[in-house]
Amino acid sequence: MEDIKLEGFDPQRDINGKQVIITRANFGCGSSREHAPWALEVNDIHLVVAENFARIFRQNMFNCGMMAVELPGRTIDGILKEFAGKKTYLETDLEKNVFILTADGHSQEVPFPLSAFDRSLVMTGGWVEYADAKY
Amino acid sequence: MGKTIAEKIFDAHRVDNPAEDIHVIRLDAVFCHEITTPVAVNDLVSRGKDRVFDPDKIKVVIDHVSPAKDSKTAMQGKILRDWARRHKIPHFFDIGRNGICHALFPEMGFVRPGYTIIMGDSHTCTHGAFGAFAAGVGTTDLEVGILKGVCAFHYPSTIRIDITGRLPEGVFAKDVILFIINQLGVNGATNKVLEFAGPVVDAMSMESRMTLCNMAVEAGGTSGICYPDMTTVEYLWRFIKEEYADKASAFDYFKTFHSDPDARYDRVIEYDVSQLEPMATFGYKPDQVLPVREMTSTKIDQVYIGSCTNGRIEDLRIAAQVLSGKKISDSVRGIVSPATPEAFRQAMEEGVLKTFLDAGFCVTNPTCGACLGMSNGVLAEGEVETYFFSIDPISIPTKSFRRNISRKSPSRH
Repeated sequence: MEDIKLEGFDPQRDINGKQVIITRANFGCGSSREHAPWALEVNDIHLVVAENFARIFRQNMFNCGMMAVELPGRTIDGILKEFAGKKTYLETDLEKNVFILTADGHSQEVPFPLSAFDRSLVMTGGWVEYADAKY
Repeated sequence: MGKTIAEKIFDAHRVDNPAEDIHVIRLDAVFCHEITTPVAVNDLVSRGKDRVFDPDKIKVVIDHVSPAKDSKTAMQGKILRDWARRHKIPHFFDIGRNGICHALFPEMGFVRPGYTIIMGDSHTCTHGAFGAFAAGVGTTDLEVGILKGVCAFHYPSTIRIDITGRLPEGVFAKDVILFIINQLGVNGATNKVLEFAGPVVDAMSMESRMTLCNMAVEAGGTSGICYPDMTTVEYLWRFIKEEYADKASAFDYFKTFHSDPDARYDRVIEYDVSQLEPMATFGYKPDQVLPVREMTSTKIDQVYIGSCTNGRIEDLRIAAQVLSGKKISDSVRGIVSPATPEAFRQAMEEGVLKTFLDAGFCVTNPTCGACLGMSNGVLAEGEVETYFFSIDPISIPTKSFRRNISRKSPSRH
């Protein structure tokens, strides 16, 4: 996996200790192979939140047992306005489908959509585990 | 409500419907090569799931870089070879018996009407020529296919292309599909099945239909598909003759897969190809297509004849006809790679290879070779190649080789 890490990208500097990506539109465009989610996985990032995703990247995230969650643009604007640049903790409640973001003692709940099937892919650890158990 | 051929195949194979528009279907075959399968195998091993659902339904070939060019590609082959042996997969084709997967597996009779097939390869759609639903998939889907013999898809939505009229002399399936891709655009059939019908397809050989379906993915299509007919029966007869009383009864069965007259389509488009000219692409995108006659000033460094689109015996014969008694220019390098050992043998016995050699071509073993740009025939920076298949029956040396996808190096990213 070492050789597929991005050139000029320093995990120590850029993502060390960070486990969630919150970003804008069309995330994952052009990354239709599993190597894109794997690159996140080896860097301990299991959740990407965006306005929308490239279709195959989104499916590959869930197929690999990780989450690609879509939120409206204004919700993401609100999150970034409130939490950008702060040491923020994000807790994912898969029972209630809600993110709990906490920074500087301030908490905010953000509900998110997740289909039952996508949820079971996350819970079982991805499509290989799901299919092996079910079929 | 009637069904399309793809819908009929789906409905006959569905095992689960775990979410809206996610259909898990049973697979009749999983095809494997040494570029994408080793990563799936390694992951299955690391998960403690080094199993295969049915060794008889998994077909394996080393084709992309064969012979291996360095220790890394040798390792890709070794992982696949060891895995095939470990699981006693009977149909494993190593060097000396190998050919390009999408030419070799049909030739071996592994593709049948009504089948469902996946492979970790974009050109898996080729096998739709037999009236099968065949699609390229990523690593995770390939792993599940190998492990459980199932794959999840969206329900197929189909664009039917009716190809009418009569193909002019010197115009072939490759020109038809390039024209169609140009019309649809590279995203024109995304997530759709491209169903090829009409009198021109009915008159095509299986080889030509494979060429047609092979490039469905270049318009974004999940799969290409043709109706299995008497031509299909004839092609498959030596493999299926024990299963049917006669050819007519095989055809009767094959006909059950044909789309119903009242089937519903995303779109139906008719193209009359009577005036179609030899076509070629330029640039990087396969929808950048022009008539060959508009490219006569393009200087070509290398000609490659081969690939899963156009390395079959039919293609080699046509190219040899053009080359017969002639030599390519000293400024052009010619490479021909028959797609399978059988195509190689036939080309040898018919004198086709001699024609290539006499014309100044290098003849290689069956492999994906220069098309993939991964093993032999790689271009230098800035060079121009025509590949997949290149002929123009009118003018010869140098400028004759400008048919179908000229591209500049570096090749594929």
